[in-house]
Amino acid sequence: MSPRPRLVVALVVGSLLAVFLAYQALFNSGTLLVSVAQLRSDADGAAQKRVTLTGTVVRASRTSDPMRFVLRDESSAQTVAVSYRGSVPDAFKTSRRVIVTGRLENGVFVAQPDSLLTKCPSKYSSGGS
Amino acid sequence: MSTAALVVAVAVLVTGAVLFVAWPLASPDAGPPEQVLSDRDRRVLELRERRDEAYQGLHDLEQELHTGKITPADYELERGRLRAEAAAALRALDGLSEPDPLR
Amino acid sequence: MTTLGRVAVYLVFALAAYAAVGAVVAGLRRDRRVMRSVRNAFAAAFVSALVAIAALEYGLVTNDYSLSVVFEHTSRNLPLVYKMTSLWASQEGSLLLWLTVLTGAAGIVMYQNRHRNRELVPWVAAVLGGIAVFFAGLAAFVSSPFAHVPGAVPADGSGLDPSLQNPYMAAHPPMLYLGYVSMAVPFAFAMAALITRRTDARWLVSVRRWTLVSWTALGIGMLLGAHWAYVEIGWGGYWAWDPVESAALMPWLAATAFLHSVMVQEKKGMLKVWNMVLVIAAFSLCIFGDFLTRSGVVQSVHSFVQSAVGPWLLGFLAVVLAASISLLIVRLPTLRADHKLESVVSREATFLFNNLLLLALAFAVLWGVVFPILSEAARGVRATVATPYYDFFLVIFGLPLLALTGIGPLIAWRRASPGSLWRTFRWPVISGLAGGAFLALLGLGSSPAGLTALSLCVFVTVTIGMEFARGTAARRAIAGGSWPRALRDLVNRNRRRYGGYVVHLAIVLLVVGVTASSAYSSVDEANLGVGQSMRIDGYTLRNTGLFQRRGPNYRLEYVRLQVYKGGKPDGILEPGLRQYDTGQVGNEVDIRSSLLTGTDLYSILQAPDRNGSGVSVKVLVNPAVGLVWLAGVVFALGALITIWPDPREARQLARRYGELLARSEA
Repeated sequence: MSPRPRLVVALVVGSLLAVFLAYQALFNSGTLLVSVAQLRSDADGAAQKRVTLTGTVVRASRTSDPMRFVLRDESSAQTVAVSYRGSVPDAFKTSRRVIVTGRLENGVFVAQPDSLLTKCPSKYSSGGS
Repeated sequence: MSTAALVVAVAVLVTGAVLFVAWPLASPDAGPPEQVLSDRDRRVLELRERRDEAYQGLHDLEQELHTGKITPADYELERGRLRAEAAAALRALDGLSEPDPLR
Repeated sequence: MTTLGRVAVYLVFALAAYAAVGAVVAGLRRDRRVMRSVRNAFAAAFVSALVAIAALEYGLVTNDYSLSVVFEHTSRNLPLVYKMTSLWASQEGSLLLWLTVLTGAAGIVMYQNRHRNRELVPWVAAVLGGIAVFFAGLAAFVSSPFAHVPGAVPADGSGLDPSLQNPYMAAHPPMLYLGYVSMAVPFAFAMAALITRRTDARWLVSVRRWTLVSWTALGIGMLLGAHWAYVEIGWGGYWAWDPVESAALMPWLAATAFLHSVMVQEKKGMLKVWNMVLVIAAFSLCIFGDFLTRSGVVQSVHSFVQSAVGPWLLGFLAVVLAASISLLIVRLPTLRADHKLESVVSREATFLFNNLLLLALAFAVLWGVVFPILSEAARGVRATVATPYYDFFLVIFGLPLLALTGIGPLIAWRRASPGSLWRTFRWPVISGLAGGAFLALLGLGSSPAGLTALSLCVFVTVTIGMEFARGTAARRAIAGGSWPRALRDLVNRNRRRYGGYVVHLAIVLLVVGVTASSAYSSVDEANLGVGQSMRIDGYTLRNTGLFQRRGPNYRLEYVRLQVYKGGKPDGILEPGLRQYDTGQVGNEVDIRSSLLTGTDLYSILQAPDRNGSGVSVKVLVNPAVGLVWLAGVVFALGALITIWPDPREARQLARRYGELLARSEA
């Protein structure tokens, strides 16, 4: 490659990398994904900030508004109550593993609307392949 | 599926596969070994590619002139370069097409 | 029957192992008989894989619940067609599908090249055989589709997830598998070229169509998945940046880069090493995607349970990367460029920048997928990456990419004349600016990124139009005839170029559809009792009653919404919820699509009326989303034009490789 094009290409690569790193530094703190146990034990400040919580549904009441359900940790017996508004995925029911985003407020995990997702244990919960 | 049918099906499948795979190996005529390009052949190929790159470049150049992507002045310049490249490749090919003493 | 299936899988493994070893022998000893035997081995392996699939289908269709796969994914009252498509609903069954497509592709490659590429073919076969050995080994020893349920045979199965009981299940997974698996062929050819030091452009010729097949299948597969999510999963969107979606996107981006840089190597003999890197990357990303889906290592709504297959796939990926990169480094001296990049304002340079942007985007997506895993390893808690991250990079890398789509075709090879640049770009730039100003007047300036994207779409469309117009005019000047005929001849003689332009048009449609339906959409939710209405974006929807209906394995509850536009009745929406007999609940959204504008009025029943306060309904207006699906059709058309065999190209190849390769091609 002749010197000038090489310089331009290097500049382009450099700026792409710079954009990427700048974004990571400034914006992407990343929402933590925590288990019920981690939330309760305030691991990494989980009880203080907005996190994505994962657990197994042990009790759910679809009729109340906002919807309330209780999530249990996958390995220990710790539970947390969740208050949720928004779309509920097809596969939601007790004994399902779910993911929901929100914050812990006064002992209740207040969820962001429409952030509830389910995970099916041994099959798809949605989509193909 | 009854055991007898199963045994037959498995036997057919496995035997069929083995036969199909072994059949070419059993043929008496091994044939000549696969030809592989010699170094000289590779050089010829390389030169032919350069020749064709130059020809294709000339063809594209015509289109670029007709569609106004380059000026006539630049066209002349580039055409000269490409023709020189084509000529160089053709000369080198001629040089190589002396009968190969090893063949 | 299951024993027959199990035997068939072992047989595939044995045949693949034979093929791999035999191919190496045939390559080293240049033995024609062994090569013929290897060809037969691939054909036999394919047949054997088909037998295994037939055996598994038999079990699925006859409700054989002694098989784990059948028990976990079907039930007696499942409609027949879904029993059959549940073959690939399970991890093990989909592995079998992968194996079948792989042996089939290998068989086709062997057949296609029975009279050509004689030097490369043994090594292509060796690589394909090696890959087949791995996947057959997984199916035979690690994760068998014919594994038995422990204990007594259950009376009925667990049933298939409701979201998989629709026609998309028949199309989307097989299409994606075709895409993933067929990428092995370009990879095999690249490795063969390196091994034999035949790094001339011959391998590119063989590889181009296979890459196109893989790339097209991945693209269509992704759009099918998006449409499925849109109409069946029903949250109002079509792409969630789920890791498994990204798993298909990343190799597709690498393949797109490859399809462009291949042209640079063919015309200028440049970017030889880069093209090797791209092929290795594309195939590795396919394996990585498979790993993501099967290992359970990332949180995804798609993934299978964390299975034993994961670590094996990761190991295989490591071997593939290590071996291919080492081989590339060793053969670096054979990959010297014929020309160098001389000007930044040249088509070579725009292709290079296009590649850099595509890979930057692929890397950003890869980082988004992998970051949660890395952060968990580092901090103990997993960090997640959400849509805003991906949207940022899609915009920042995608918009320049879109601009290049318009710039590239209009720039000359080697060096564009600076003097002619303005003349060339005058109309497209003016149209883009005018279009942008017009859209801004319409109020679309609310999203700067959206406005820029749409203006660039105008720019690109005008450049494509100009290319077609000028090309047709030039053709008419040479050969006479009518305009349509000149156009047809033009496309016929330059299938790759003009097929490519059609694909670019598809991308433009896609960008317009995605931009409009994300940057300019509206959403609203309400609790509606019977008779109550809600308003969104010029529409009014009124609850005119709740109804129930019974289906083959479910009970449907839905609300009838009368739509009014500008005060006048404009159709009915009936979003509902299905309660399946297995206890699961399925979301049945209702969508009204406008043919004219492609805008969708999208309604979701979020919760039925349990305590008299009305049903919870969510409604979205998605402008121009229909263009996303239209883009898929245009994309397929463009890809077809590009793939279509060209006798002229074949003659050209014959002239170049001529009697030289007749020796190695006889």
